[in-house]
Amino acid sequence: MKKIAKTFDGNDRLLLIVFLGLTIFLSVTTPEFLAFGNLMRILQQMCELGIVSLGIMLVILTGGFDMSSSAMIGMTSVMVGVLFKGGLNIWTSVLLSLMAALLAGLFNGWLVGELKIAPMLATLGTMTLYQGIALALSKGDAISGFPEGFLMLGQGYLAGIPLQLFLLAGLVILMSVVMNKGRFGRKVYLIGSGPVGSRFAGINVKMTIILCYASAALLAGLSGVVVTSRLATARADAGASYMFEGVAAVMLGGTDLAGGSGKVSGTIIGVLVFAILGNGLNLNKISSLKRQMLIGIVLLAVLLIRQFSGKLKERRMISGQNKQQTNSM
Amino acid sequence: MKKVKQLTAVILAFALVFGLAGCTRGGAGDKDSKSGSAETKKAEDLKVVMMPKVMGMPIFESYYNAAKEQADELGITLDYIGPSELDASKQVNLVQDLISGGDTDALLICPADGEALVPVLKEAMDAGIRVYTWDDDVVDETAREYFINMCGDKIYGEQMGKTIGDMLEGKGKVGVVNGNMTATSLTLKEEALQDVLKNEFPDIQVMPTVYHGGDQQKAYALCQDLLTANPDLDLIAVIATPGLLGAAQAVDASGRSEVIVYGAEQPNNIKEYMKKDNLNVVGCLWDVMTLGKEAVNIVYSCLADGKEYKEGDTVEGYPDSSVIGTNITFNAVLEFDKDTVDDYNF
Repeated sequence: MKKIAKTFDGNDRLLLIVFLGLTIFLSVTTPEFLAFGNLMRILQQMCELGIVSLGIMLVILTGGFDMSSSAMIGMTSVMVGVLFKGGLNIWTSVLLSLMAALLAGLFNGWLVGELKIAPMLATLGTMTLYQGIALALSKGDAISGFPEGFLMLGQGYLAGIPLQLFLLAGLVILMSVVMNKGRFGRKVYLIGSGPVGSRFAGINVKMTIILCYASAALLAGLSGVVVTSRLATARADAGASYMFEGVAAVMLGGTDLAGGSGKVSGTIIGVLVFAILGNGLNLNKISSLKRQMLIGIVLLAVLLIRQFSGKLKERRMISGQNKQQTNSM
Repeated sequence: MKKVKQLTAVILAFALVFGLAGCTRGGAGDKDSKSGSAETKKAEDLKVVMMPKVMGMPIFESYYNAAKEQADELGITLDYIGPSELDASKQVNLVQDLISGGDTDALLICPADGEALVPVLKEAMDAGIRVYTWDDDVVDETAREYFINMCGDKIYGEQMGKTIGDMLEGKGKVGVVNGNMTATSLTLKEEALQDVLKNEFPDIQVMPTVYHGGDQQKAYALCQDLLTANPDLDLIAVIATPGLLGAAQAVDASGRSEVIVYGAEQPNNIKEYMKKDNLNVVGCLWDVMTLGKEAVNIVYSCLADGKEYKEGDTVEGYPDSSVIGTNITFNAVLEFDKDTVDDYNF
């Protein structure tokens, strides 16, 4: 608990400053940025990454790492397409595909939680498996021809606000409540801080881990449904870049890669920072090739600042202690 | 106070970052209001964006070079913007941001996915951007004004099929390498190729198609596998660049010089392998430079002169060209081998 409170000070402040700074800078230099249409489009574009990043964060909090998130997006996307083309109602297809994602997630969790395989290795294997399933089911083709109703999810607006934003907002609220108020959230943070200690504290580590990986897969699946709807095509390579981008956003948002600390709000702001940065670069017609470089620079800068401010704090604390000792002598 | 200081520092940092990236957006405040497509604009004010499927692919660089030269001659602004990965969602995002940017008059785009780009291109047209596709098309022709290509996909594929049949004299085993699975044009070309082989050369055995996704290294690996799996392979047919290079490298490395390597690549890029004595490499493409140049010309004529291309028209200066529906095509397939490769410079 204390660790989370400490994180609120340093990391969050830096992140908010980066976010505000970028927003102000773009508002001043690129007036089109502030146009309602543009802001809504940014929000529409970032939802897919936002949803899957929530899941990525959840797994990282346990001290693990899920490499299969992108593959899950592709697999879910393809399943929706294949089932729909096979004659099922579109929403039945979506439901069944999400269930498949959940099962895949349970499998991930079982490998890590029960068989105790290193998370990165386990999910590297399952990533290849799910990618393979997606390619085999789709035979490499993209599937399209979805009904209007389904396309509304990814392309529709309600009162000018993109529909998938409501989904993301709902998930953010749900996850914040679960992580901060519920016992489950506390268990996750404790496991991330120290799996051995957690077990001695009486937590069913295995069950919690399985649930985390399952939830992450389900979130990735949801992201896959949104992507499929927005692009009106089911593809095996849907969301291929989202795993790395998601991890970058989660790290930017202040989640410790070793697990144990991180906030939902941080992750979402991290995703927003990247989305806004990308939008700003596009509006200024800066080549996409330079864009990768710039995103990398921003990420590294924030991480370095965090690292140094962390060390500074440590030194201050230590010198403070020494001062007290000398005073009392 | 400290917070404000930090905020200012961050803002300055972003200014530096964006400045280094080379953005200059002067006069952004004084924008003209969006006018209907009926209005024609002066050449110097025209802002055209050329958007390839993905940045960094040699054939698109060639298109751009020719296009830029023509744009400079016409006096219009041509920006070359594209996604850093061959990913339809990234291209969709880019087009959306162009719409937000508000100062694009025309978009010349090679869609990464024929279906996925339809909604956003329609949105672009609604926002006043005139949309044209080149090299590859979208499935809905109302999503753009015209599709400009050098030769019809069917004609290209049929030519490939005929040449393969002739080169193998009606018998043999062929491996097919294509680009990305969701590209409309590439799919149509392959269909035409397969149809010709099936109907006119039934004794030629065709292996299942493999896809290199625009990656030369992947093409190399795929062709190596093809060669290993089929010791009696006679020909590798490559429908999309930059696969031919990978195929030639694979055949060269395997030492099986009896395998013919045939397909799409720019003459300059394949010249080295084409001239090797131990290889038999034949190219089949189209004049990339002409397409790049004329695409810009056509877009310019539509915007500056209000020209319309109707069924049966031809493009000025190209008597073999034709307009079929909304497809402006030059009907010119280009085949070349080690003797003729030096005739071309692209």
